[in-house]
Amino acid sequence: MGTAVEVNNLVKRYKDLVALDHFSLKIEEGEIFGLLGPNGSGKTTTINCILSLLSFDKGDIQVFGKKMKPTSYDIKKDIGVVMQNVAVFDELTVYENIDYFCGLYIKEKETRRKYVEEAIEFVDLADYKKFLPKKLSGGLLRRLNIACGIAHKPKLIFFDEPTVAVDPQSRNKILEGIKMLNEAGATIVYTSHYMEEVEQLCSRILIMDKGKQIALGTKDELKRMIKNTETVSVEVLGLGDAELDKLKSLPHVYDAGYEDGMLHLYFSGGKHNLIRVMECFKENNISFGRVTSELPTLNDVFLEITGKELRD
Amino acid sequence: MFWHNFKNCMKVTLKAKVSIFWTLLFPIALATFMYVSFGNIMDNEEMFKNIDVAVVSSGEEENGLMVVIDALSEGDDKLLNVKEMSEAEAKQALKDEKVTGIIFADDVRLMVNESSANASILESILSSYKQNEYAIKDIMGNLETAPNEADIMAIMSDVMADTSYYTEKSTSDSNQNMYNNYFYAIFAMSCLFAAYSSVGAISNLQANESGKGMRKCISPNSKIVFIVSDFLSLLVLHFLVELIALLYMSTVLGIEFGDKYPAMILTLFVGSMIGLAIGVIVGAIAKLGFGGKIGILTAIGLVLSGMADLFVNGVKRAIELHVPIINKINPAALITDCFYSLNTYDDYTIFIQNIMIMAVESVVLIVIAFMMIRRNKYASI
Ligand SMILES: Nc1ncnc2c1ncn2[C@@H]1O[C@H](COP(=O)(O)OP(=O)(O)OP(=O)(O)O)[C@@H](O)[C@H]1O
Ligand SMILES: [Mg+2]
Repeated sequence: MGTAVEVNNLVKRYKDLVALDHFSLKIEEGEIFGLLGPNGSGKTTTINCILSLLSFDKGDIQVFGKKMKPTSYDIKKDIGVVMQNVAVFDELTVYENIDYFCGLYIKEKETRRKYVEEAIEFVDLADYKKFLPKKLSGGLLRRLNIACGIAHKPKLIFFDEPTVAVDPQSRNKILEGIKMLNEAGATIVYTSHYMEEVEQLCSRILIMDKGKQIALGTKDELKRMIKNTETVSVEVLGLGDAELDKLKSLPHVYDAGYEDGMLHLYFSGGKHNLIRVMECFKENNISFGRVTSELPTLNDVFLEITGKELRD
Repeated sequence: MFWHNFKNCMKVTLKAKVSIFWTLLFPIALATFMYVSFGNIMDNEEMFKNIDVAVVSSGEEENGLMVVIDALSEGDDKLLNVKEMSEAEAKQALKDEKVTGIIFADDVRLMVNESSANASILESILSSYKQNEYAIKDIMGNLETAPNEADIMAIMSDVMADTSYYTEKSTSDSNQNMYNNYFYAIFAMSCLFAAYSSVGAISNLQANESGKGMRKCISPNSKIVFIVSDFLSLLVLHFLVELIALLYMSTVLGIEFGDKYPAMILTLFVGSMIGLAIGVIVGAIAKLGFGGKIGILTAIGLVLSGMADLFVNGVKRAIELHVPIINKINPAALITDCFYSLNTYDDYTIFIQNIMIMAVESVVLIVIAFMMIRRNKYASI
């Protein structure tokens, strides 16, 4: 398998603002590549540059091994984009919209009819074929937006935050759908600021902030990059300073916090950390409520590298 | 792809009922409105019975003009409605459009504000008088007593022969022409209004103006295919709108447009073309935003129409005197000229020339627009 997308040292400025700062990435064919970053980190800008929609100040972009230009129609025919903002004709029905955008790629009528039907099936809009967009709910509209972007069966698909404003049930359907597209052979580039989605879906993840790459790898690789391996949280009232100190001195604990009746203990390495915490509580006769133990998330990765939360 | 986009553009435009409704309503409503307000004036029989005219006379003039004027302002079907005034009063009356013109009896001079059928009748009276001045003076000079009624009538019939030619011609043709000018203006304006539909289509083609534009830009198709197919699709629709308007005016309102319908229909076709092309070029201007583009289009439409006399008379003549080239490129002037020349001359030279100019202008505008938006990359989206 070859390389689907290769971006080298991309610089994009909007006047004084540097939206992409020597940004590079390489996406292999067949993977689901996640682009994770907070609002304004440059995800959409990256995609628009790759698509040759945006001009950039510096850098080099190749798609399927060829330099990408606005007139690279042979490359463009294999690309599908599900844009962050819904873009459909208000005057056309669900079916007509998908048919129009699919028709920009697929000439042959029979094939197109089949593809459009499949796309409708894919986003589960069969009951809404004759609906105008303004009659659709926000979530259904996003599903139409997805269908318009993928109906022509592209080999490389960009999903730019496709699940914003979609209820959890629809969201899971969309994520499952993306997995199916990938299994059918498409390379997927998925951007989001929801780490759960990216974790659940992507084979490799690039975390970006302020137009720069800050980490890259599989989700496990990313998590291994940081100190934290486990966070134990305990509901407990009236914990004294002496008791807190005892907990802090447990093996592998590198940090602790106690606020609003919630105790957080951060571990780096070690096994049976939770049991040791429980024993400590028992020895000191401290009564407690709910106890959880969590493995690190991508948010922890982001937090540790940038010093801020992924979500605002 | 070409037909796919062509059909889609037509479908979207037809389904966005609002815009097609307004483009169709505009010429029909305006024509109806004008028809109703001109209705009685256009009933041309009554029209020339009375031409209000101010006469400034010292009472001492040596010529027979007053005799002629008196003769023309007597009887049931008098031609002139004479008001004797001082020069200042007369000028004020002319300014207030209370009279069509002022006749200065002392030096046989006529003053009119603007050219109209009535003014040309006055002109013809004066020039007929001048031609016959010596004969009149001769008769009057030779007479010892008051002028003989029969002699005067003989001269009068001479004068009247000329003027009646004018009155008849005016009532049938010129007058019709003059009011038709307003209907030509409606066609010119509604052709220019076509620009509003093409400006939207071009915005829908640009990635920095709409998501739909983004989708089109990332598709494997050249922009020229989009531009040309959208353009032709809108042209068909807009041409139909103009045809319906023409049909309405000529059948329902019964306006006489003459018999050169094929040529008039060609004018409407080319007129729609240039209107749409103006929208295409304005739509192609980057960094303006949709609202800005609509604003510019409105300004362009008003200026071009204004220069073609569509609001007030006289501008076009002033332009013809000072910068005639503007009248040769202003589409509004070209469209009205086409109609006017079709209805006035048998010869097609001006008509063909105007049609060619508009066709060339349309192509040039579209080519420029394509060059402007062909460079698909945008600095900012
Ligand atoms: N047209 C523009 N003009 C000026 N600045 C822009 C423009 N578009 C984006 N930016 C800026 O560039 C930066 C990157 O924006 P971008 O849209 O790529 O972020 P994003 O990661 O897609 O964010 P989000 O999660 O909100 O979609 C932001 O700081 C944004 O304000
Ligand atoms: Mg974005």
